[in-house]
Order: sequence, then C-alpha cells, then structure tokens
Amino acid sequence: MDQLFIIKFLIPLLWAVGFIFAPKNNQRAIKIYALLGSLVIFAYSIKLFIDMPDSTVMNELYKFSMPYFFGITYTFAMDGLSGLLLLLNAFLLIVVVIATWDIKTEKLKLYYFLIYALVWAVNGSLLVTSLYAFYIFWEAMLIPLFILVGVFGGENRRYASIKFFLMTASGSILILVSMCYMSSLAFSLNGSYDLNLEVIKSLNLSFNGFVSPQSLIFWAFSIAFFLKVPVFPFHSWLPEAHVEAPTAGSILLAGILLKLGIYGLLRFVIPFYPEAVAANRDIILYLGAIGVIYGALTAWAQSDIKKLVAFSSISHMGYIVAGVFSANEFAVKGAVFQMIAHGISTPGLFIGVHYLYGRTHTKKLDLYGGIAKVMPKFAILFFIITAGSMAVPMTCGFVGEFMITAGLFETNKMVAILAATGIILSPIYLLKMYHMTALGEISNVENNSLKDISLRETIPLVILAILTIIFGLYPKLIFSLYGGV
Amino acid sequence: MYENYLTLIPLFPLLAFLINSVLIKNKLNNVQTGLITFFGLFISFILVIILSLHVGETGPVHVKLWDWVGYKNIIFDIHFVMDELSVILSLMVTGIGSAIAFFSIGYMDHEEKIGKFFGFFALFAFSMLLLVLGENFLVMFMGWEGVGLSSYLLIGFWYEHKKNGDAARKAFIANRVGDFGLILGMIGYALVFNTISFRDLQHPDINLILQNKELLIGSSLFLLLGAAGKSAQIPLFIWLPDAMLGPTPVSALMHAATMVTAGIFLLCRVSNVIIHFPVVLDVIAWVGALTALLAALIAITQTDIKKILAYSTVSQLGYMILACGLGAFSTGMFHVFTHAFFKALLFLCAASVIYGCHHEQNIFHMGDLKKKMPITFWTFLVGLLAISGIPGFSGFFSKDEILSMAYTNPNNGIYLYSIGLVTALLTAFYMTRMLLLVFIVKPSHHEKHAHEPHESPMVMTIPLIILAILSIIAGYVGLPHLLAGHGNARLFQEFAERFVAKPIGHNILNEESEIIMTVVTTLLILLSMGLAYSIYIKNDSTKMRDRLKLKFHYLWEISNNKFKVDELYELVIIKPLYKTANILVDFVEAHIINGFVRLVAKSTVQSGDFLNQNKPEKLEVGILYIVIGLTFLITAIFNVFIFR
Repeated sequence: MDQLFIIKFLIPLLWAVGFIFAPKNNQRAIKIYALLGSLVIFAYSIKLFIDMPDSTVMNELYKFSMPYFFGITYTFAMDGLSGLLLLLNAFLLIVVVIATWDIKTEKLKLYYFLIYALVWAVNGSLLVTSLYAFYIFWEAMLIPLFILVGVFGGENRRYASIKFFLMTASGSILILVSMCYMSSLAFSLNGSYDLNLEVIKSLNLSFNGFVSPQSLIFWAFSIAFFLKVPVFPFHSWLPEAHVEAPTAGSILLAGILLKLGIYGLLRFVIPFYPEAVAANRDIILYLGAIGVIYGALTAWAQSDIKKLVAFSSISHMGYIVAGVFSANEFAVKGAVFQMIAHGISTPGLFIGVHYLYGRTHTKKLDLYGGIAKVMPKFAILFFIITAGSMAVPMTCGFVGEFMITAGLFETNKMVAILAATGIILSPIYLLKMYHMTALGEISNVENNSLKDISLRETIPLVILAILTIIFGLYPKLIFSLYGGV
Repeated sequence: MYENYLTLIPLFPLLAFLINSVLIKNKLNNVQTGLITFFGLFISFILVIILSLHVGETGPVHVKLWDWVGYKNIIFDIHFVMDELSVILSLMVTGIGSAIAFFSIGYMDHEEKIGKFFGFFALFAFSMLLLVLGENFLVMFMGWEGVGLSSYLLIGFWYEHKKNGDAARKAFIANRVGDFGLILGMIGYALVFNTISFRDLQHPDINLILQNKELLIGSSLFLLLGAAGKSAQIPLFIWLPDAMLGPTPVSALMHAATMVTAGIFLLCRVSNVIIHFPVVLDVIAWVGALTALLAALIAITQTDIKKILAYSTVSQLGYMILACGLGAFSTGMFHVFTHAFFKALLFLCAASVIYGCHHEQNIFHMGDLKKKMPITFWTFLVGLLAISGIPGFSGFFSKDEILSMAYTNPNNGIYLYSIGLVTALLTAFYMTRMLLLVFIVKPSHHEKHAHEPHESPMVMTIPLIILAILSIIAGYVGLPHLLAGHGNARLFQEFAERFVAKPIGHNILNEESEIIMTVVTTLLILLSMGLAYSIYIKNDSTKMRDRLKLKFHYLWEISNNKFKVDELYELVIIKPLYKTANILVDFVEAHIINGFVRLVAKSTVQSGDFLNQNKPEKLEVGILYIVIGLTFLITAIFNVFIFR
C-alpha cells in the first residue's frame, strides 16, 4: 500500500488551492500554471493505471479507517472501469485548458479553481469504494459545477444552475435515505456501520415484489443515477445546464460527469440487486431506447447549436443505459466503450461550438452557413468529430453502438430494433447541424471575415479527431485497459 | 507473399487519399494530383490481377490483421480475403477505377479543390476495397459505410450550392436506413451461426437454419433492406438520381459501376443461407423486378442526361436483384460485371458530352454532336447496344440469362419474366431516345448552344475506347451453353458459383425454345428502338411528340414527376416526423417533462406559503404541531430502521 497515496490523490485539490495564491494580474501565468497542473494530473492518472496489477478486479490503493467513528473505513481502490474514467477525466482537463485558453474574465482564478475542484471531486468518486465516501464526493461534484454555471454562464444561468443543482441533489437525497437504511442493516449484521462493497454485497436485501427493501433501494439508487446520466424522462436539467454553462462546464459535464451516473449504476446498483434488476430490466431498457429516439428527435428540432448537441447526449446516453442493463457481457463492454467514445466526440462538438460562438457570438444555426469556405481546417476537423458522434464505422462512435445493439438483440429484440433506429436518426440531426454551419453559401455577410482556427485552437480538435479514428480502428486499446466489470 | 499483396491492395488507395487530402493539400497541380490517385488504384489493380490468377488456381487467400473484440466464440477481427467473389468486384473497382481516375484528370482540369476530389476518390476506392475484401460482416460493414461516407462527400463536393448538400445528406440518410437493416441482419446471423465470417456462411449448418427459421427470415429481410439502401431499390432508390449532382466521373464509378452493386454483393455473400428460404427469395425477386420497371418508366420522360442514366442504373440494379431473387446469384453477379463496363462507359460518355457542351445537361438542348464528337458518339453507341441487350454485346449475355432464369422459374416466373421483358424494351427505347436527341437530331433554332461543342481531349477519350472494347467482350466470359458448346460455357458463372449458391428449382429450357426466345426478344428490342427512331427523328417528329404527349398526358405527367415518390416520402414520413419532433420539443419537453419539474417546485413553494399564511396564532398550538410532527418522524424512523 502506498503511504503517499493520499498526497497524490490530493494533487488536484492542492493545485486548485494554488490558484487562490496566484498573482491576480498575470493571467498568462495562471493559464500556464493551469496547463501544467492538467499535465501533472494526467501523468499521475497514467501512473495509477500502470501500477494497477489487474484491471479486472478492484485493486486496493489505500485504506483509511476510522474506528472511533462507527467503525467506518474509507477504502480507495480502482479497477479498469474507474481507471478508464480517471484517464478520461484527466485528459479532458487538458483539453478544457487548451480549448478555453482564450477565456476573458476578471475571475480567472475562481474559474480554474472550480474546474480543478470539480476534477478532484470526480477523481474522488471514481476512486473510493466506500458508499459514504462516494456519497460525499458525489455531492462535492455538484458544487463547483453549480458555481461554474452560475458565475460564468450565459444569460439564463441562475435558473439553469439552480435547476441542475436541485434536480441532481434531489436524487442524492434518495441515496442518502437508502444509505441510512443500509447502514443500520449493516450494523445489525456486522456490528459496524461500514458500507464497503463487500458489506453491501453481504446485505442480501430481500426481494418480493415492488414494495420490498431490495426493490425500493434499487429504485432509489437508480433514480438518483438516472437523474445524473440523465435518462429520459429525468433529463430536463441537462439542455438548460449545457446551454448556459461555459464551454469548460459543458465539456466536463458531457465528457465525464454524465458518465459518473453510469459508473454509479455499474458500481453500486447492478451487482448488488440482481432480482430487482431482472424484474425491472424491461422498463429500463425501454426507457433507454425511448431516450435514444426522444433525444434524437428533440435534437433535430433545435435551432440552437449547443442545445442540439445537448439533446444528442441524451440520445447517446440512452444507448449506454440500455447497454449496462442488458445483462449481456458484450453490450456492457460496448457501453463502457461508448462512454469513452462519447467522452471524446461530445466534448469535440462543444469545442466546435465554442470556436463558432467565439467568432460569431451566436448559437443560432441559421446565422451560420458556408463556414467551410472561410474556415476549412475547422470544417474538416469538425466533420471528423461529427462522424464519430454519428457512429460511422472506423470512428470510435461505431464500436460501442454496434456492440450495444448486438448485445441488446440477444436480450430483447424489440429494444434492440428501437435503439438501432438511432443509426438512422443520428445523421438526421448531426448532418442538419453540420450542413447548417459549414456547408452551403455564406448566408450571413459578417461570416465572410471569420478567421480559421489558430494552431492553439487546432490542437484539441486534432487530438480528439485522431483518437476518434484510432479507437474506431483499434478498439482493443480500450478493451485491454478495461478488462471487465 | 500473396498475403502481403492482399494487405497492400487497399493500402495504396489509402495512401493516395492521405497524400492528396492530408499531407500535400493542393500543393501539386491538377495532373500530378490526379496521377497520385490514378497510380494508387493502378498498382492495386496489378496486385489484384496477380492475386486473381493465384485464386483461380489454388483458392482463396486470407490475411488476418488484428482482433477487434471477441464475444463468446464469435471473433470480430480485421480480416481480408481474396476469394472468387472478391476477385470479380476488386478487379472492377481497381480496373474501372483507374480508368475513371485517368479520365477525371481531363474532366476536372479547371477545378480548384482538386486535392479534395482525388483524395475522396481514393478514399472511396479504399472503402470499396474494404467492402469487397472483407472476410466478415464487420470489415464489410466498415467498407459499406465508408463508401456511403465518401459518396456523401463527393455528392456534396460543390457544397456551396445548397441543393448539392441536400442531395448528399439525402443519400447518406437513405443509406443509413439500409445500414440499420444491415446491422440488425448481421447481428441476427451472428447469433444464429455464432460467426460473422463469410467462409462459415458459405457452408452453413442446415440444422441451425431449420431451427432458427423465423429469426433468419427476419434477418435476411433486414439484409435485403441493407441491400436496397446501397443498391437503390424500392423503397430506398430515391437517393440515387439526386446523387447525380456530384462530379460526373464519380457518378460513373460509384453511382453506376461499383458502389451501388454492393447490395447484390451482400446478397451473394449470404446466398448459401437465403437460398433456403423461398419466401425471402420471392420478396427479393419482386423488389428487383418492380424497381427495374418503375425506374425504366421514369427514365423515358426525363430530360437530364445524367438523370436518365441514373434511373437506368436503378433499373439495371433491379435486374441484378431480380436475378438474386430467382436464386441465380451467379447470373446476378454476371450482370454486375457486364453492367459495370457499359454503364461506366455511358456515364463517361455523358461526362464527355457535358464537358464538350460546357456543362449543359439537358438532352433537348444538345443535338447533332455526332460530327463534333465522333469518338464519344461511337463509344456511346457501343454502350447503348450493350445495355439494350443486342446480341454480341456484353449486356445481351447477362440480361438474356436473367430473363431465361425468370422464364423457367416455376414460381411466379412468368410475371417476373414479363416485367423483365417490358423493362428491357423500355430500356432500349429511352436509351435510343437519348442517343438520337444528343447526337443525331438537329437542334431547333432557339435551342442553340452558346459555345461550340468540341471533342474531349485524349486523356478522356482513351478510357472511353478501353471501356467500349470491354463492353463488347466482357460478355464472352459467360456464354450460354447454346453458343459455347458445353465445354467452356458459363465460365464466369461457374467461377462465381465456387462461392455463391447454385440456382435450384429451375426448369430446363430446351434449345429450340431458347433460340426462339432470344430471337423474339431481340426483335422486340429492335422494334422498340425503331419506335424511338420514328418518334424522335422523323421530319414531323416534334409534332408527333406533342401529339403523343397530349394523348398520354396523364401517364407522361406521372413518369416525368417520378411517380411523386419523393413527395410521398416527404408527406408521409419526413414531415410527420419533423412535426413529431417539434411537438416533443414544444409540448412534451416544455410542458410535460419540465412541467412536472415546475410542479414539484411550485407545490413546495405553495405549501410553504400555505403554512406561512395559516400559521397558528398562539405559541402553544405551534408547539403542539411540532410535537405531533416529531412524534410521527421518530416513530417512522424507529419503525424503519430499528424495529424492522
């Protein structure tokens, strides 16, 4: 066991605290400090991953026991799943810092502080396996994003941030209640309130019909995570939060935070409540499939590019939820892959939106048009990323969608067919987006003088585009890291 | 060694793509850029020839590159094969592809974004090679969507014009509907046979087929949907005519010769399974026959030279699908093969005409080009005779075999045969009409060209001549028994039948009736050409045309409006779907889903207000409430957590 683990684990937070002492006027120095930090965090995430002996089981990293505190222990552990998301998290931090380098704000220190605090909270929820600690980090993730949207967001930021906070926090209350119940149960069984994964497993909640402990706890957890994912019909906070959030918020929200909901389902729900999962499987599969269609259709009807991308997330996450609940190893693997793929393509789209908005100061699709002519580099990269999002084979989007569809087909053919309509619907809205931005004639005269993206702006898009293709051609890269659940 | 060749085949076009579109964007002149793609394809062509000879002697060559993912005992891997079926298609793709790449150097000489054009061209060749060389569904599907993507990119090549972008998008989405079918179909097959490899599907386990009849029939119909998407069959054919907005050489290669035949290729790949399901075969046959007829009916009144050829392609693809539905997969492949030459030829001739006439595409605005463009005229004539099925030209052999297969099919054969025959006559008619209007008829005064038409340069006419020669001789690799004697008849078909299923359940036609049938068919075709001649060339032709138009006004309208299929889809599918999407956003999302959230918020506020307004006036009452509340809460907690 690594005694220095806690120090390493605290790096993002310590780095965040560093921003408080940074010189206020030297914005460039702050940005460089932020970039350095992101690289350090990425390096240490890789180190954690490499040091992991076996990615198919939980590898304990550190144990933090508090005997005087009701015998609760905080265990830090990781497996392939949390490792992958850890890497994605750190990677997206780099992308965020580079892509939003041009941010102009008085409160730059606060901005970076919040981002780093958010990243740290995400790392925390990925690495702990004790339910209490998970709950603390889970709640801790809300606060930085809430402030990020509330302070740096668009016009309607107050409404959006409060809605986001209240809806996800109301889910947390369900977790809290269930946790209380489970801890008292654990105490009566083990004489300790500890709620580690093994303890949760040993609780063996009884299941008989809908009103039984297992069923209720299952739904409490599930709804809490569904609110985060978000699964149709719990999604109404997402489009507004995305539209109002600054780009950094959108990237992290779509790129990693939504996946934490799926992570929660995989880590704390599906393994422990088998009867309840089986009994409610069809409902959830249909919710996922409906989400695919609903998200796609609503995305299609949007006239605001950022909202379109936001609704596309609902569609993609519908696939993933259906995948993880399919009880099919292939589909679960596909869902994990899709989490990474979505964590690459959607941030890419948001970066594209950021560049467009930075130049045109509008998000209305009909005010773009013909941009490929003045911004050819951007148009090509944006297209590759769009192709990834529409799951063209040889891009990362395809692998996950294909595997999920195949696995679902074995579990429930109707759901598979419904979800597969996403194949038809995704180009409908994504090509609408691409055509209205990049193709056609320049309808808006002001767009004639737009500058193509600079080298700094190109870097994140190029990295994302390359990853899109590499993961699409050689998905084994992800699977070998992942191992299994 | 052969394995390495196989790996290299798709690699050269990929390299050309990377060079032209990533590495040295637009730094070379047009000829150099074109030559990179040309050589990328041509080297592959040579490798394909070497491999083909090897395959012909010793059998398929395999090369497995890397694993993708595994599931149970299904292996998803990147795996290429050069077998009998791939040989045919890859020869066409690289051979005709290099000819067309060469032609494009001339055709695209004034184009600015030339690097992009030849880059996408090479990307298409790469994807198409993935499609035909893929040993399993996965690699084939990668190529399948890859060609869809490059087709999208090339249709929208002149993206500044909105309608090009729209056509590209339409093509992509229609193809995606097909892909939806293909994905579900291949998953169904994979689950039944526990494999996605075509090698295993060549000799499927008959017990599995019988046990999983329903699933397989469903999956096969999904695969047919996939084939219909790529090969532009009913109900998805609408994208192909619009795809003609792309550069004409591209139309020749992708939307006529190679890409659109992928559907037939797919059916051939799974032919050994679907041959067991007469229901599926019937559906396939009818889809093909009806598409052939419908497209031919539309083609006779179109005025755009490329649109006519596009509908003629849809119609010919219908023939090929019909052949598959008759169980005669090798015959279908044979028609794919001959069609590739004469249709590429016709399209390149059209390109040459369009180039010569300074981007005029309306056949009524052309005319009398025979003298000005002699090479184009004579090669076009060869293409015309081939597609019409005049004996001696390649189209005759394949088309005749399809018709006789239909005739001898005991199941609905006579109907399918009649449809096929009528389509053949219509084909001869509209192709002759086109030839006459473009090359022979003197343009009337007001339709005179702004610029003088001219013959195309050598770089364009050489490919025309090569393709014309191939359009004549390509048929001789698959002679009917009647002509060849029994020894070397149907060489092509027998080669293909090493992989695809052999036709079953056909009555054998005796020689006499076969001769009679051929003679009668040929006479009818000539008659149909004569009819076109009398309508369009005789002195009073304009008058006669108007009279006919008046007389058959209603029919003419339907045909000229393409049976309003586009409008129908717009009305029945797209508009309602978009309406639904808007309802979802404006009503469901705004009032139900958000409404519920607001309701929760509102009720919280209002209950607070209510309590606030009705707060007890005396302190004691308030304390009483608190005590009652607390008692409830504590009892609840104890009940739930402690005394379970």
